[in-house]
Amino acid sequence: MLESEMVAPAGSEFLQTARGAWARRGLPISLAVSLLAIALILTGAHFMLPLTEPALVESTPGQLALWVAGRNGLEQNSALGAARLALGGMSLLLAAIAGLDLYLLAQKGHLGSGALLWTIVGFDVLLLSVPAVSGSASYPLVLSGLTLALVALFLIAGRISRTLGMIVVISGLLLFWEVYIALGSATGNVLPLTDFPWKMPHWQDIAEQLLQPARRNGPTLLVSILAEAALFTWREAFVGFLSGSLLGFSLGILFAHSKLLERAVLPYAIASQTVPILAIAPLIVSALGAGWLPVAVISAYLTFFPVTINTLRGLLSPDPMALDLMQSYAAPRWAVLWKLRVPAALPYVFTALKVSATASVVGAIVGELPSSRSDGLAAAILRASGNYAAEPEKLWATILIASLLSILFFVAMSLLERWVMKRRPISE
Amino acid sequence: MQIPKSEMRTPKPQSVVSIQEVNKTFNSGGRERVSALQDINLEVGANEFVSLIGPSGCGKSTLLRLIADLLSPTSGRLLINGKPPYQARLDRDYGIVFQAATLYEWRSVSQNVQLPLEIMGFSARRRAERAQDMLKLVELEQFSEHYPWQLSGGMQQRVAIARALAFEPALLLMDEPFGALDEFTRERMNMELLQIWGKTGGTVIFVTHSISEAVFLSSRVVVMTPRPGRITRILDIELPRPRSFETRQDERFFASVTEVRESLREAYLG
Amino acid sequence: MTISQGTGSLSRRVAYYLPTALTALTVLLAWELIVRAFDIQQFLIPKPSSILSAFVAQQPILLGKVLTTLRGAVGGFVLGSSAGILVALITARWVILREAMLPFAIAANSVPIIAFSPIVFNWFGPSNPFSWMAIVAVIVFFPVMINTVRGLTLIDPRALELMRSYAASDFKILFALRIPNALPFLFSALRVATVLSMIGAVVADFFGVERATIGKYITQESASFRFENTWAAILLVSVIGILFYLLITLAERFIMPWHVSVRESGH
Repeated sequence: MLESEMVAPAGSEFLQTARGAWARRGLPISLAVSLLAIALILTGAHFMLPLTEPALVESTPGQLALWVAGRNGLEQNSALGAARLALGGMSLLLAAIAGLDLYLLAQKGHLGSGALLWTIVGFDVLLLSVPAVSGSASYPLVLSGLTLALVALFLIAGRISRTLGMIVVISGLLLFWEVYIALGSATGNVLPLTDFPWKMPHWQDIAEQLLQPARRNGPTLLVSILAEAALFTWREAFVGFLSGSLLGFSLGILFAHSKLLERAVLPYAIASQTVPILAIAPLIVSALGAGWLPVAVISAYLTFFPVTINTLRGLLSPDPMALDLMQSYAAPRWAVLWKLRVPAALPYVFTALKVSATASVVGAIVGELPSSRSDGLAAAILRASGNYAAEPEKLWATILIASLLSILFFVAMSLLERWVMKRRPISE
Repeated sequence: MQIPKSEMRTPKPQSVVSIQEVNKTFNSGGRERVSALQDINLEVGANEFVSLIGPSGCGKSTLLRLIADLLSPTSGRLLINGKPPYQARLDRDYGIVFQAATLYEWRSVSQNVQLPLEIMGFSARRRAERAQDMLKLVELEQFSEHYPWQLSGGMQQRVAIARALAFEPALLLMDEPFGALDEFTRERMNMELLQIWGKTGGTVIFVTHSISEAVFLSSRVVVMTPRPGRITRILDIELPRPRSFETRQDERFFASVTEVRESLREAYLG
Repeated sequence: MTISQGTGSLSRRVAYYLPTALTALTVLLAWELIVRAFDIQQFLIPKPSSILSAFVAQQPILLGKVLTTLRGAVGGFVLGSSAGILVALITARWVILREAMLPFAIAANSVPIIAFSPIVFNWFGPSNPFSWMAIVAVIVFFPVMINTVRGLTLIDPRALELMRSYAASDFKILFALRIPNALPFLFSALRVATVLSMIGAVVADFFGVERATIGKYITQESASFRFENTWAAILLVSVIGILFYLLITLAERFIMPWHVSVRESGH
């Protein structure tokens, strides 16, 4: 309570001055008007695109529509027409949101984080749909729109939710990337990493690749192939995660009860983490055969350690007075463990589980490499990286899906944590 | 028992702290509104030792923080040395001591005392000299190169007091500084505080929930009660100075303590 | 909480480390004896004596190859940690950025190095030592950044109030309060980073073209079934990682003599 009270006066001092007043009213309104203008121009431009225009054909909806048409024997032109509608529709929706922003701003003098969130998301979606072909004005327009929206965000402070913050960072990075590419070509390809186009692909190309068949005119989209590979890898990771966590948890309990064992074994557990897993993975695969087992084992190897350390810390965390209380009840050791130590350890354990969730996925991918399991993410990554110079977007797309897997696993753990510890403060 | 408002309208020219019609409400999360302070009026003159006493929730710490410009009032006016609290803080007109010594563990005792002086831009030599003087004042000069973790709680608080006085503010704000100490140490610290105050002079506003401490130290005791936080009564303490251990045995001491206790009870029952 | 002095503590120190040493000795001995006694095929896990002799015999080769990897590890460590500290200082200032970076940092942290390495080598060239450093820097960056941010912002509110009562500028607060407060957090992250650096550098070895690296050595010895050499190399990497870790712990002792974990006896 006090911290927020203390922060408020400094900011409000700026806004008291005359310049502050202008920043408060004038600038946001002009920004909102510009955003609306850009969205309207984009809408008009998209609805009026000729069907053969590269800006339509190369766009993400365009390519997807062509594939659908190819698979189902539909007319190319009607497919492209549908794509054009989609692009126009998206721009129109964005214009509506921008209009709403303007209205809210005029009415209330400030924008809620919800309105800003949708505006930025709208521009992000367009960024991923509009191709960066020369001669097309849409691409630079979308970039400017996104920039303005982010600038607007910084001026209209107030409460920014975590989701909005995340969207801002992602959008900021997308924007920075694209602007850097633009700068690169503008300065004659001398900036680092801009000498060859395959070093930094456009994000729209990556999005487009995902919604494309993995093989020319093949039956399945890349995104579904990758999703299947991710699921395949995740099953192995999950087994590893489960066994690794159980092992870690048991070791933690063991070490908490025996200082001797802790001093005897813990240093080696620590040392085990200094061994590069990629080096011993082939050995484990040779020993255990080429199935899912070595993968799960490697995954468990990367999982158990954080859980051990955190469980140990958590089990030893209760106040000595709380322990004395238990002793005064003549509580047996197992009661002290389950009624005091373990509940006290839960926040620590969940922190470790969240870290281990991501580690288990990395472990599974590493484990798949030497055993050449062709259905998993590792194989997908290898295929994509072998082809990098020709189709760089595929590797980026694969990495994206792999990261998404880890993030989802992490989020699942966070939700579990929130459910288990309903009334307790959540660790970061 | 309300202080007649007519007395409170114009601040007396020699008031160091002038609090007029001050209210403070907190709304945590927007739905609940907690009225921490209501209609506070108080004048503190130069070189007075004033205690704020009351049970938890009566707003005494909040009031101290309003004076220190660590919080802003919802309505009303505060003047410190004739200036708004914001200006008084920028001009460094006061020193503050909290219940926890809040010494920085990476600095030695002497460096801790020098902290405000560093921020105010004193030269290294002057800082070191002043720190030594202050530590002599609180009788800890031989610990100047020790680290906080090597000192007892009482000693750490003395360092905190030395730090608060380092830049010679005319006003000292203390928020239950001896609350974490045992009774014997506390009584000793009370004596030491009075001795230090005797040498440095200046005004002190002291928050406590110990009746005997308030009566022993102060020239006036401000009794506050909660829900909503307000001043119930202001008592003058007629004990002579300098005060000593014998003062605690004085009949007038007991009488004052009883008066304060009665005022607190009244507010609860009446 | 006394500071140990005198010789009495020496026997205490020995007793402290005894179980650790004993376990190692017992395990190694048992392993050696079992393999010898039952004449087990020393395929994947050769007996300790063979590993040790390989370690000694291959010393010149091993040390030569490990230097390239080590250069990448140390360079990347410095690069990644500095970047982490810099970004931490920036995001500590603007709360919005900090709140947003955290989940994103976790996400970025989970990009498998093996996916990222080909791209890095593609960008900077497969023999460029900077590629190694870039890969290691990315691995090291996030733990250092997150921990430093924690240290810069997890401060006793009363210590902050004190600064405010002195009308201290944000700059002064940063230098006098936030940074010293952050040092313990930073060092705990740096300790983890040392180990991650070595691992990251070895992984980078696998994807580079440079043959004189320890990662390539491990692969080639494994492929030739000379597993005692493989394990000798792994042992070397592990030992270097641990030494690097101890180096940072020493630096920590030097820079933060006032901290709880350093002043208590027996470390």
